[in-house]
Amino acid sequence: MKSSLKMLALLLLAAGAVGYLMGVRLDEERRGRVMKLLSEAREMPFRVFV
Amino acid sequence: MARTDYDVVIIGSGVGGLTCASLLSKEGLRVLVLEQSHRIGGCCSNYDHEGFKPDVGAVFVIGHEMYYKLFELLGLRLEDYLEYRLIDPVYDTILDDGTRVLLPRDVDEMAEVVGSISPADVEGYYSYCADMQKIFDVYRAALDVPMPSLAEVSRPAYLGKVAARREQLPAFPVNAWLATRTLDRVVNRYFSDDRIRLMFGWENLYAALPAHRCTGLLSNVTYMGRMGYYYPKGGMISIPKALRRIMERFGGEIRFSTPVEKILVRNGRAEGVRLADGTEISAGAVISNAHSRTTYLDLVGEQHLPYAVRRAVKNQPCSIPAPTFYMGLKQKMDSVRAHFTVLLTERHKFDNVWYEYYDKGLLYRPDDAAFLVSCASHDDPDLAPAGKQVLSVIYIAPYRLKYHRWDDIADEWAWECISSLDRRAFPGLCENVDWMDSVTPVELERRLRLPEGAFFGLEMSGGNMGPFRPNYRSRCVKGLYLTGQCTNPGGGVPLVMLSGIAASSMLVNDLAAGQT
Ligand SMILES: Cc1cc2nc3c(=O)[nH]c(=O)nc-3n(C[C@H](O)[C@H](O)[C@H](O)COP(=O)(O)OP(=O)(O)OC[C@H]3O[C@@H](n4cnc5c(N)ncnc54)[C@H](O)[C@@H]3O)c2cc1C
Repeated sequence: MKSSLKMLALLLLAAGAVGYLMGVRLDEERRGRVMKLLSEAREMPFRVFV
Repeated sequence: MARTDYDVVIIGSGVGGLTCASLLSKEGLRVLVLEQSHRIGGCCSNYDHEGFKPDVGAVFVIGHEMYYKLFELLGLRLEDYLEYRLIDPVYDTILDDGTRVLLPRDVDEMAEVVGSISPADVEGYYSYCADMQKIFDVYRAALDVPMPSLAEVSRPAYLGKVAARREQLPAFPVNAWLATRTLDRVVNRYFSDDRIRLMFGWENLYAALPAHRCTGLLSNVTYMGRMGYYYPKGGMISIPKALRRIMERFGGEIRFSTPVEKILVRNGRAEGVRLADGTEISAGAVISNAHSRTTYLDLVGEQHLPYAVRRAVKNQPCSIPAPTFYMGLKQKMDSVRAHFTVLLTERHKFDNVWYEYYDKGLLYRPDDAAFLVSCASHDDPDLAPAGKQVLSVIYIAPYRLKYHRWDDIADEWAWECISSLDRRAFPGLCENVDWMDSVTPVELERRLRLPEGAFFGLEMSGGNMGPFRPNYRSRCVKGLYLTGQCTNPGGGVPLVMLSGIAASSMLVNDLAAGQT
């Protein structure tokens, strides 16, 4: 159990690092688009209550 | 239960509000429409400056089949209320390299135009038409299902009948493909020449989104031009005027210059409205046709909203604005060859507008800008004084400017655009302008109480459609219903009619079940 949790944490960390590196490499326009998509994804769950 | 002043109070006389008003009056309900402006129609209206009557907002009828469905539900004949004319040619298109072509409605004549610019694209054009026709057939077939009673329209049995049409099957692969692509990718697949791509890829502006952010499904908007855009006699305002006549025929009432200041909410339910002059009007239910942001944050008030709703409403992005300037011309101009003239720039400039200018709050050089010029008097000469012409020019510009205030530059900016139109499309235009009115996004917001002057209310992207667009039946205030472009399916007159039908149907069902 503990080792699978560790594995999961490691995977998440690795995914975060890869995501970060990819994000850093994106040109300004693409980064803008990704940021917009991320902020939309964050807000979408709230919209179903309106 | 105490008797209320009205069964239903409707805030706003836009197409959404008036669709509800006509349907609900027909159901025998006591309906009152309250409109803040002195004119009817909101974003589907016009005004009169010394005989020049430009359309305010909507400029043509697209998807007119939906209009017929509304009249079917009302049990009336559309022809008794509206007189349409077909717009043909659809556009006079002017490209940056000097190419100027009239785009006809007929599919084969259009193929000739495509061939004259890029022979290699004729085949792609026909394959585009074949695919779009499949989708169009689905739309037509859905509308062929006879309208049931108002109460039944929003019930699963009827919706199931519409969804289960056989025509869905052949269109499914195309639809699935379009739904998973952006518009620019779709257009690029059918066409190779940049000029043709632009001609088939700019109408995403009607969805108020750039082509790289907007769904490929919208590529059939351009095809709908082939199926016919129409213009009603008397201008677009004839549509809300017709709905008003119907509503009044069934006993509904309307008051102009009557802004609603508050929706009265007690114990979580809407019980009526308070007007700006302090008068309170009680009602069994309230329908708001105002923008969802206005409805919830200003009219209902934040104190009645749970955190999730407050947050969602505040952060939901508005669509791009639709700034416009109107012109009355001293004399008719031969260079105005069609009801619509569209000026497009080179493709990379057109794409750059969004990222390099729009998103950064900048205005681009008018010579690099795209414009949609609409001449209302082209198809209805009564909309301008004899021998004169009226033009509306719609362009893309952000609501918030980085270096200017819109109020400071409104006229100067419009004149720069007019000079550009003079050079690119209509020689002699500058000297021919008799009257001009520049309606910036900020001015549009003021005149129509339309937050950010937003073309389609809220953005029509995936995260703001379907379950993510405000509901017809409010989830947090009982007895409050929403209609109009901020609800599903979104902006555009026929879609707003659909929203009005859905909201009214739900209300009627709730009333029958004693649930409002
Ligand atoms: C420039 C432009 C061009 C367009 N072109 C087309 C087109 O060619 N074809 C097409 O089909 N669609 C077009 N559209 C879209 C279409 O016009 C709109 O989607 C549609 O008219 C919106 O109708 P609505 O009922 O949702 O809201 P609105 O028309 O915005 O109506 C809302 C009404 O509520 C009133 N109101 C607001 N607050 C209050 C208050 N507190 N008290 C009382 N009244 C209030 C407003 O004054 C307004 O009359 C265009 C839109 C714009 C802006």
